[in-house]
Amino acid sequence: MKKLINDPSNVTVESIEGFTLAYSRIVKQVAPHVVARVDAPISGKVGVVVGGGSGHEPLFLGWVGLGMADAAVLGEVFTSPAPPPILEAVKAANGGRGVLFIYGNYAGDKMNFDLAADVAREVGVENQTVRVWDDVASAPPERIEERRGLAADFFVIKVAGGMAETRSSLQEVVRVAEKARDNSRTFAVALSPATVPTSGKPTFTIGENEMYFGIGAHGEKGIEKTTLLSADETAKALTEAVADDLSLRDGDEVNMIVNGYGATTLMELFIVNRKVHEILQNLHVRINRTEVGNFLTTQEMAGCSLTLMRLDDELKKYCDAHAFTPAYRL
Amino acid sequence: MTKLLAGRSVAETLDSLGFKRFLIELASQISRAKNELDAMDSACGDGDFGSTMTRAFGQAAKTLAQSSSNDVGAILTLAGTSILSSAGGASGPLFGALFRESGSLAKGKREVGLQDLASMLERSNQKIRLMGGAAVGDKTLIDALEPAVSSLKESAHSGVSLDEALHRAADSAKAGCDSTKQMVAKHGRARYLGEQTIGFVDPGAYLVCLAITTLAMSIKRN
Repeated sequence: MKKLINDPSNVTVESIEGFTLAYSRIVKQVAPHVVARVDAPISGKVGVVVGGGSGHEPLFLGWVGLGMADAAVLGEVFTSPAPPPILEAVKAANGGRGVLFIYGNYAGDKMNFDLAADVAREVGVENQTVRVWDDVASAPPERIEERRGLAADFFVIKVAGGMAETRSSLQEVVRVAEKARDNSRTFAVALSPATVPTSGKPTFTIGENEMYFGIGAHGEKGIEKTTLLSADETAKALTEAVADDLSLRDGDEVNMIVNGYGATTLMELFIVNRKVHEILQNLHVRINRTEVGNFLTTQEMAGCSLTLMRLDDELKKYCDAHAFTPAYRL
Repeated sequence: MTKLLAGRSVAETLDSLGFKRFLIELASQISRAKNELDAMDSACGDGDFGSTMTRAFGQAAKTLAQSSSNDVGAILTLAGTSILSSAGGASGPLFGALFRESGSLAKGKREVGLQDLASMLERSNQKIRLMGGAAVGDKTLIDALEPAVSSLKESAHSGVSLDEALHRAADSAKAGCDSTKQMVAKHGRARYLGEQTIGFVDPGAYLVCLAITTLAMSIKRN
């Protein structure tokens, strides 16, 4: 393992401290594992609380700020946060209109956030949860609730955060967050594994000339190992899987993310993006917004994912709304 | 209440001090097994189970050392809450529930006997199954906990001593833990590794086995 770290057991907190110093005009660190908007809690606004394991930066903490999340809580690398820091995030985000939790659909996150949600309710903080399950590789469509959460976290947080800025009710924000989630799908491919600082070992093994489709954000087993394909062939495989699962039709409009997993260069991601656009145009699918870059990373894993969200006027409006966060400004 | 066995008394009940000693000893056992547990977790997970549990049980031991409660339920609940609050991941809520659920059944009791212990652990087992959705054979801590609970219930029914019952339960937990080696993981992130998980013991089952063995040993010492 070759990483610029100090003690492997301190990476999460040290990273959050450095992050906060870099973006101190946008965020503040309210607890060792929690960051919040500098102006949080905002009275009369639904508090959007996001989080999960660290090691996926800029996921979660990078999207704290105007138009997106009010607070983010991180656990250790690839490990859900415990209930006490989640409650710190609730306290930081609660502006008296209730709190919405948004996080990826993983067993550990669900247990810890649910426990925190119960405690928050007991002390009078109304709250709801939207778990993101966009990974088409992790379960068939009929068991969509078993799917893992990937880069669609970004869309769900963007849409919910956008609507929360308009001082809408918790129920309304939940409704659009679920709509964003239900219209988003992701498919991923990895070229090389990640290393978790505490174990120092690669999360999976793969040959020099192989790639792995459907791999999870923590190295979970994928669907198919193939010989290394070209960027165009990879883009085709990703686009077809996502478009098919989303049942995209002629005339549909989408927002998309070509996400890098950590070690894949922007140059490569743009080449993939070029082909995804060509395929979608051929399918007569209109593209409203394209995001290319690192959204959900897996340490130094090489690879990328494609996320598409089918739009309607409402989703489009909140995706296009003003946002000012460390990792996303619009 | 004690029974004379080979000239030496062995307790038929456990009081809050007994549970405190047990939990502090367990924290030190886990700390000693840290690297072994991390290695087990590396096979199917991210390799931090030993580190996380050492931190969580260490925190529980520290909190317990400051408590002077003589309520068994309060001691167990305190330990479980401490684990839950410091671990994170799926293991925090699950191992937290192991002690919190037992604790809720023992609330207000100054000592518990074999029958109580069997009921307490049965309740913990049910709660953990409900939270994680795991059943026997899924390669989780349930594979060690459920046979240990069955063994305790059987012992309570047949009227063996607490000491003997705990040793039998520890043996059952050990057999259950060993059986996970041949299983394919069906829960948590390990389930995506499928057949690659065969050949490795589940670290959660190992920890349950370690806990029940430590409890059995602590009865002797007390």
